[in-house]
Amino acid sequence: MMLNEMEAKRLFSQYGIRVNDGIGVKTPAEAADAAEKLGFPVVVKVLSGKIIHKSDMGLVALDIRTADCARGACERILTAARAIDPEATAVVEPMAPDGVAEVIIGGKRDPQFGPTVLFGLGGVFVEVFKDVSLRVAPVNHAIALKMIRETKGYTILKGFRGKQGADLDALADILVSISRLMMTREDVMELDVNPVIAYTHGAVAVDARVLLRDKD
Amino acid sequence: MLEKMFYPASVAVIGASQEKGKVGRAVLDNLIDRFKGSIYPINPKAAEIEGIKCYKSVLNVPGEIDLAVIVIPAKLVPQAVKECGEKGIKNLVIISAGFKEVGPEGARLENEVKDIAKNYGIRIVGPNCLGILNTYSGCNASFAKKMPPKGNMSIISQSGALGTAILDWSEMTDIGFANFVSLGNKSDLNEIDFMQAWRDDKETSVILAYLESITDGQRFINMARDVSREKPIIVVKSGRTSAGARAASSHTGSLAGADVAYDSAFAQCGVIRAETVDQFFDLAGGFSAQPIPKGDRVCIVTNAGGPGILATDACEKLGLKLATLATETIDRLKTTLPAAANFYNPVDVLGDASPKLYEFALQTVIADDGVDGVIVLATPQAMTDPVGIAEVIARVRKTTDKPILPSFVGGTEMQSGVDLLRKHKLLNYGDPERAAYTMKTLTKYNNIRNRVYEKPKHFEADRAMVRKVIAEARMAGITVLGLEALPVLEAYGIPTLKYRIVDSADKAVAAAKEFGYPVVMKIVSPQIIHKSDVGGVRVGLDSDEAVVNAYNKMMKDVKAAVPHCRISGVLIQQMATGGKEVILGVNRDPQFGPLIMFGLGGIYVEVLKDVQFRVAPLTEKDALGMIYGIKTHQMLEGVRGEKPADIEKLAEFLERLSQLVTDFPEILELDINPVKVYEKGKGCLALDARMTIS
Repeated sequence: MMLNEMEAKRLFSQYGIRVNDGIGVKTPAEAADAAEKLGFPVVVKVLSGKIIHKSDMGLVALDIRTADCARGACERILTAARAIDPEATAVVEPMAPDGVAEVIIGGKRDPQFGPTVLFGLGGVFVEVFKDVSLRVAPVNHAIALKMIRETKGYTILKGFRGKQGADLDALADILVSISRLMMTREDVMELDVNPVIAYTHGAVAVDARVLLRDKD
Repeated sequence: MLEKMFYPASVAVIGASQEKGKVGRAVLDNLIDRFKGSIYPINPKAAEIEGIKCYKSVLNVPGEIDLAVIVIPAKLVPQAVKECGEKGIKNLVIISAGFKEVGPEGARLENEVKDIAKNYGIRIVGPNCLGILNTYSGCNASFAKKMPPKGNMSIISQSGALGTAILDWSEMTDIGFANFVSLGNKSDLNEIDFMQAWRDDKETSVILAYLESITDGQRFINMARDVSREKPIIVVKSGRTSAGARAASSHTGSLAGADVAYDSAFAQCGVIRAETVDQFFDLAGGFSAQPIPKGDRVCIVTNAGGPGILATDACEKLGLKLATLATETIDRLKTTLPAAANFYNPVDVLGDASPKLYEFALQTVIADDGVDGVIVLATPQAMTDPVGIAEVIARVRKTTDKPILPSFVGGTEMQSGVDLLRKHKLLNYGDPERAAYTMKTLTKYNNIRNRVYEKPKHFEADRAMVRKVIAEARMAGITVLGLEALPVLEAYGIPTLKYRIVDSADKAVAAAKEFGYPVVMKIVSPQIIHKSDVGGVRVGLDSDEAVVNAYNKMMKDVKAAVPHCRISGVLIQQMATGGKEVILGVNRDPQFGPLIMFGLGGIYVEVLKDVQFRVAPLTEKDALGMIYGIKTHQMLEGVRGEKPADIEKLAEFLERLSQLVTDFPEILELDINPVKVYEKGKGCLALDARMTIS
């Protein structure tokens, strides 16, 4: 069973991970209200436990700057999504500002070794170069930092071409939290925090996916 | 060519010694051992050695001499070479050391010898070498301990010691040689000459080489490209890591390690590079005894599951395909193999399989048109008959034009089978991964011999313009050109973004109007390196007014930030929007000449080092190979609904750049960074360049 994004973020929050909280909405009008309440710009995303690749399917609208646009985007997203999942709703979130980089943090229960955690820089680093580092949980802060430093993407994270670097401790904290989550929640089979936006100070989980073991 | 060098009718040994243990004696003994032609020991102090009459000089020998081997102290060599010339000897092997390798005095002596030889039209192997040998003529003009067994490989070795190691391996494996040459100092003949000579040698079907350097990179590429189509050339080259710290002032220079040029050149001319001596031997065994497969679909026949999985993993890792057996093949296997066997690839004939069962399985899969080659695995189990299985492999091997690589895994138990394979000149691969590597390399050679070489295209170019830019720079004492290098690219048909340096706001507006809005403005001052830090860069200027304001503000800001700087003006350039950024570069390799680099801009080059190199001149195929060779080539083909970039035009850019740097050796380094590649059909544009001239 898949948790939807809001449920997943609630779970992460319980483990001390900073998330980009949003407001769940069921109608375009609610979306417009939520957007006003949060302040612009916002993001409107589908909320469904059945739809995995929401960006690829066009079910995410970024950088929305007016209530009307939020309403329109929600309308479009819900219409498209409900063709696949009749129970789909949406979530309106504040648009997270750009950071130093976007990273992916993941967890997976390996049939042989049990919980494992993964770290990588988003985009081509993970997709084309498979530039990730993996450990069997539990990982502590020191190991988490080592994981970050052994990827090629570390060059970007430590500050590339005179730019400021990312808050590595904040990223390591998320890795440790995910490790703890995987160790304590045996019903979690697999999870992705993708992306985590890494800032000069702090890091925020912007999207999330959690797969729970099916109940017999 | 060099026929008499390897197949002489008569040989003189200048410096033949009576004393056992001397090199001059070892060479003579080696000749006496197998050589059927006339042998003339040259020694002024001896009347005869081993019952063979000695002469004071080659000039005293009554008959003709095809080959002379020189084994005397270095300082006496020039005189001996002169006498050989007078005698009309055309082929010399100089074993003596004490030349270039010992310093300037030796180098002078070597040049003297070279000049004398050239005057008489003499060809020289060495000096400072182990010698040469040919197993068919029996001419062992070397001081190697033994004559290797006869075979179809010929080997060039730049190290005498590694040469003897290879000969020793040959003795152990029974995989033999036709010719052997130790290059020594390469004062005259080098690896290129022997590749050429052995292309026409009927006894040679595989050319092997151990190299430390290459004498003439471009000639090597041209020769190897021709020869590799007829005979495989397998090289192990040392020196991967040294000299990497060469100071480099360009991207291309810093990314091209010491060895990148060799890797690129070898790939371009079809030379197969072995990474280790073990791989070198494995390939020697494979290429000397196995036919070249027509494709890359492999079938594995095994008597156990474990090694079968290892072999499967190795094949997949190396990019070989595991053949899908035809239904008829599977049905046929089912008629005879036990019910518990695996009838799909890998075919498992089970632990108690008899040689007869192996033979049946092997013949059945060989007959399948979907199988290009077979790896036969055998492990020692209670019922295993290694000799029987080896006999089957040797027998079936003769009936087919598909390679069958044996991989007997084990030790004492399997040795009898390995020995029998050796009798049939078949090398055993004790690890399935080694068999897979050899199979992969055999398939690679199939592509090499079938590839069609197209000549590089020739583009019309304004060479006078390039000469002018270079001459002007030299006059001004400039060796590194920036934007001033753009006309050089234009001259070779590479479109560049126009720019102008102006010294007033009015002129800035005029330039902007001519180029079209929006424009970019940059300060030009020899004292300012980081332009943007001092307010010296403005982008997105989209009106006359914006240009005027930007100009005035820039003058003020820059003067405030750097009070005493000299401002030569401001640069106005059209702002290039859209498109993908790539980097094209050139670096000059000491051995191969211009080395062209390609990569996507920014982090792709700097962090991920995702770049491709080729030695110029480039063909269209080379250029496209570079573009599709980077890991992130999808970014150019269009991802997430984007239109594909103009890859065709980009390839032409690379070809034109290749022609430019081939025509002008005085261009030492050239980075075109960035180049904008627009949508298919819309071309490319060079925005900035950095060119170093000699």
